[in-house]
Amino acid sequence: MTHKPKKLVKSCMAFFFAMSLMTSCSSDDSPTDKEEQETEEKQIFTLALGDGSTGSSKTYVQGQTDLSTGSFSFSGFGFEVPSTRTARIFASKDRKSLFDLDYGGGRVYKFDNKGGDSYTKVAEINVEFAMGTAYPRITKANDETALLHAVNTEISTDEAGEYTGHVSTIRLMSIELENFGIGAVEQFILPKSGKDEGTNDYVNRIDSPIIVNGKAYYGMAKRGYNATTDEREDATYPNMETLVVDYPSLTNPKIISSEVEGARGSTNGYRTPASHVDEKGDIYQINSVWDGAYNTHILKISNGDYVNSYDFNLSELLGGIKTASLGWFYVGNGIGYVPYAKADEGSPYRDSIWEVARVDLYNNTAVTINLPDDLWLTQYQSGVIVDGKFYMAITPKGQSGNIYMFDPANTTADGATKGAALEAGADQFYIGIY
Amino acid sequence: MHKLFLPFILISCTLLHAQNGTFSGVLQFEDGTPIINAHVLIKTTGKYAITDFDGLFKIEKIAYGEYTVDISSIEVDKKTLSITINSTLLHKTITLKRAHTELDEVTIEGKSKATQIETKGFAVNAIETKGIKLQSIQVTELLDQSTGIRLLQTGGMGSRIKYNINGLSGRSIRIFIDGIPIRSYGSSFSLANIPSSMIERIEVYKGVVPAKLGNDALGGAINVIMNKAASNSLNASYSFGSFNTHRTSVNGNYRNSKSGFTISGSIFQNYSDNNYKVWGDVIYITPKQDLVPKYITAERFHDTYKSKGIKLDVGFSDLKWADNIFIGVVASDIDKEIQHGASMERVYGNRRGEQDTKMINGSFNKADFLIKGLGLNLFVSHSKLTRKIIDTIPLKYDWSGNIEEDFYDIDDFRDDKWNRHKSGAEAGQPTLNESLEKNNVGRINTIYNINDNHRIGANYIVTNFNRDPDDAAREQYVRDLMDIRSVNKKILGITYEADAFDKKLKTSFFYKYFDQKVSLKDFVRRNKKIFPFSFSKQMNESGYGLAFSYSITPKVQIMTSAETAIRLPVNQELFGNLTENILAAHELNPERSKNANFGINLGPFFIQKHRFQLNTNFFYRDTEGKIKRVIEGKGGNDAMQYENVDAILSTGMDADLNYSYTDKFTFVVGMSIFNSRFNRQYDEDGNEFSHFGDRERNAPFFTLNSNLKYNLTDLLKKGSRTSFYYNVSFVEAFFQDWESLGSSGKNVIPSQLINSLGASHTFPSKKITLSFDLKNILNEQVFDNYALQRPGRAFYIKLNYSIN
Repeated sequence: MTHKPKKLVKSCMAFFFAMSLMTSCSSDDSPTDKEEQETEEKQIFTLALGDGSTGSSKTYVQGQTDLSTGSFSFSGFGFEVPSTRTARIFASKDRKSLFDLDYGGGRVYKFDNKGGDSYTKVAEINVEFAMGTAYPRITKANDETALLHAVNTEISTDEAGEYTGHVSTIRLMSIELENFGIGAVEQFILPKSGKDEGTNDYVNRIDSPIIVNGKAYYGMAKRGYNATTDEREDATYPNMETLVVDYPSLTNPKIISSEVEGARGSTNGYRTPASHVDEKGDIYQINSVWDGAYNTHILKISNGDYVNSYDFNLSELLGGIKTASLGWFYVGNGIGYVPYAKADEGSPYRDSIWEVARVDLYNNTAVTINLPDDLWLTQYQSGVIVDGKFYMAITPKGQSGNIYMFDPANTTADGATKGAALEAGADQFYIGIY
Repeated sequence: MHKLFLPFILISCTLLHAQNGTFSGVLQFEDGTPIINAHVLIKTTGKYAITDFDGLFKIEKIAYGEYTVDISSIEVDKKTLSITINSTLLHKTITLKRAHTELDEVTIEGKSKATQIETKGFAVNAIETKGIKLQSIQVTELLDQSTGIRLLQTGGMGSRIKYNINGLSGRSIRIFIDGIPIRSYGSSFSLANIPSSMIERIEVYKGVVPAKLGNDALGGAINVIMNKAASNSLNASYSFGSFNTHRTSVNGNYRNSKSGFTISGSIFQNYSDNNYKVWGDVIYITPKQDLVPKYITAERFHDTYKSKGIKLDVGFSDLKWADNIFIGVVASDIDKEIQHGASMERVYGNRRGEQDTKMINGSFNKADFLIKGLGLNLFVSHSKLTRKIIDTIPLKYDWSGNIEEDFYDIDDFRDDKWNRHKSGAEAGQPTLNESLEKNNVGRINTIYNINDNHRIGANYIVTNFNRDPDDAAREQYVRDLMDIRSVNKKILGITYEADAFDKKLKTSFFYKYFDQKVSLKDFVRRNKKIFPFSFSKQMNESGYGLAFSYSITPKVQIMTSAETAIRLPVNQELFGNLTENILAAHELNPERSKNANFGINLGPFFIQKHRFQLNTNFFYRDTEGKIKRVIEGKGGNDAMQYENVDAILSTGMDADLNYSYTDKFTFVVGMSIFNSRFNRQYDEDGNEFSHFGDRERNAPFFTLNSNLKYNLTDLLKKGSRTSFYYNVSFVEAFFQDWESLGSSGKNVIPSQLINSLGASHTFPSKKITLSFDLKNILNEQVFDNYALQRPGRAFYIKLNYSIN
């Protein structure tokens, strides 16, 4: 089907027409609904586009069943996700529900995904008064649960007024996705591992949690502080660390620390998830180093602690290049895909210097997949697994592109084939498939 | 005396001679009822007056001499009489006979000041405040009803107003009071606060701006003409209404006809609780049990607005050596609570702001300065503005007006049971920010009449602005960090006007030269030591344009104007802002626009007692290098910077149809359509914007306004006067984001259809008028900006008292 009633709103008449279309979308006799009934078994994937890379960017989504063929565009088609700033979205396991945190507004919404541009709000909660901020982070931590988290930092001094360190107060919350009810809400002062001693590091952000075996593991980002100059610094990051709490109570916090040589950096990802659990119940976690100063490693966490004998060094496996990654995706059998920036070519934050590598965590191999140039995957959030293949929306910065189907069985650089075409323009980027 | 100038002097001396008198009087029928709307024309001078409801007229500044006066009206036969002006005042009661037969058609040659401005060739609305002075209607509302201009307001009384003229808004639009940039008067002396009784008229230039208004207006200008002290009068009014709104104003003028000593004063006060009701998507409270938002209709609880002001001018008028010489003071202040943040979802209960301004000014003008035909107009002012923001309490409020309890609360934490803003205050860090601004303005405006058909004018304005902020809530070293900014602007405008073909063709050419120096002093902190640094930048730019009008027949006039306009970059755009992580952009260029207008004025046509008039204006604007904030982060941090990147192409038209039946009934309908399109096709990497050609987002594009007025005399009592009005305004809905993106769930600023009505009754003494206004009769939910609701239905009464 085509979705290009482009420049629909050309005159007042057309405008009213568009308005009436919008309101009639939810009525039962619309063609979208009939179509959906016929294809009931098919999953409706959500395709998401971000427009505007500055603070006030907008997020648009549309539901599609076949990602392998055809052409998708957001010109005149798609649902505008309510958000004060960039929306944070994720889908339920059956993809029939889409969740959205209005970052800056403080509400979390649940939408019924009926395909096309039809997303109906079915529930909402305001987490601001539980989290104490309208700017919490949210992560789908397993199929049933979303976790919300926020960090508040304060300088602490002794009686003489001398700096004694930063105190990071953590606020955690869980939401059951099915009933959309509140689970636990907890607050505590972040314990310290001791590894940071001698550095000026303190934890200023936690994110990308994952729930495994009655525990929730949160990645952490740090910042340095120079008490003599009263200035902010880059963190030293002696190693990789994770906050572990009991789940579902979200209590009993402790910090686990890695001892793997050279594995340093933050563990909270950015928009891309940093940690995944494999079929054996082991967690694999990637480090993020914005400027690529240290190598990109994936470490293993088993039974509540780092496995220091395991080290997957992506930078070395790719030939000793300078890389920076902000998260990765897991497919199965130790196979995953890692978006990474060639950090010696520019800024991972700003420049379109991104690639995607297939990694085999069990066999310690990595290969960069052939994809178009000029990729900017800094804010890329999600892909989907369909019939054993991993689908990502790949568009060169400011240009049209395609959905790519990555075949985990293919160990070569040609392990991805083009799926449906994706239309995009300047200052637009696909943030994921859900 | 040079021979060449002789005819010119003969003509102009009547206008410019120092020995002047006033001709006033009353026109009445034989039974004593006044003759309304009659034209009294002094032949050879072209001076005229139109009689008011009481048959009164007044023509000022008539040079001593003998004259022939023509009186014409639909209701009387044309009458000619002779007068001699040899004293300061000649007053006559003139009794005329009713015309026995209906005249075929009466040609009224005189034009009001507003009409004269509208026929110079510029696309301009000259809005007279006369019609609303007696009602509880603000000049901002009057402007909003005018075609081609739209005010986008964030709330009730005292809320922020963005002016949009044919699609351009913000810094593109400049506002003046008597030709002086309004900034010097301070925001407490703004269009929203000044009572209409202090204002004679407002000129709205839509696009092309004449050189006499000295500022870098890219997309249009609004010039407010204040009342000029003329005759002895006193006028007072008080209005009271919904949301505990009170407005008071008193204006008085006194002139000693012997010495010419004149004193003129105005004082005003505005107050409102602004406690109107709001509801919708973002108006809810959050029950602690389940956190599921409960939507409510809430009354605004922290939105009180107070403003007051005084304007006093003392001087002399109609002296031998000066037409006017005055010293004036203006003082005003605002005290304002702030109900919410950029979105209504962020509710505040403590944040507030204060402002006050004090200005002293001097002015001088003379029609024949040193030599005949040279007009000179001088103005100087000094003003001090203080602005304060008070925000020190971090408690969180919800729309019930209560402070929110924390959902999760641990006793042994620093927290108590209340939810708090982490930043320490409602809108960021705790602040007692106080910024002091000093403004100096000097203006010389001169016009030289070369002969009757050629004039040359120059306007030179120097403005100097300094800001020095401070914040007592911060530590000393942070206070020292706060930046000092200054802007010096020198703007020269030169105009040459030529009339030809018996004044059927009027032309005006103008050139503007801008010299702007902006500077910034700031400090950086290194190793707990403070290092000062400073920036400054000088810019010289020029623009030019022309305006033509041609009267094909006295009833058909065409006008056109064009200009290359600029808007110079401001301090923050050039130097950035350390605290907001905005980098400096010294190479920033001005925004440029090619503006053109074409208009046709038809009428007035008379069919018996029916009068029709149609004014139409088409416009074209090609704006390039619009300054936009973009991301300029190299290496992980998301710094911002201003760049000249965006482009907008705007075309459209507006039209006004006026109909009246004698002076009893008037109907005005105005419409404007602007088609303002995003005109930047590619980004810096050559990628095409998907919204290229889209209608500009978050901007209205279609408005309609119609106003019906009915005047009655002798309704309750003989000699009384009553008028009724009904106003309907419509604004088409528009999208907050690009129209071409997406199809459902889009944020829309919904259409508005607002009905308002009112009436006023003037008692036979003519001194007291009582009026009422009912606004937004249907209690429509009104938005000018996305999800920022404006007041609903409101009722006001007003009492006016005046002596002339």
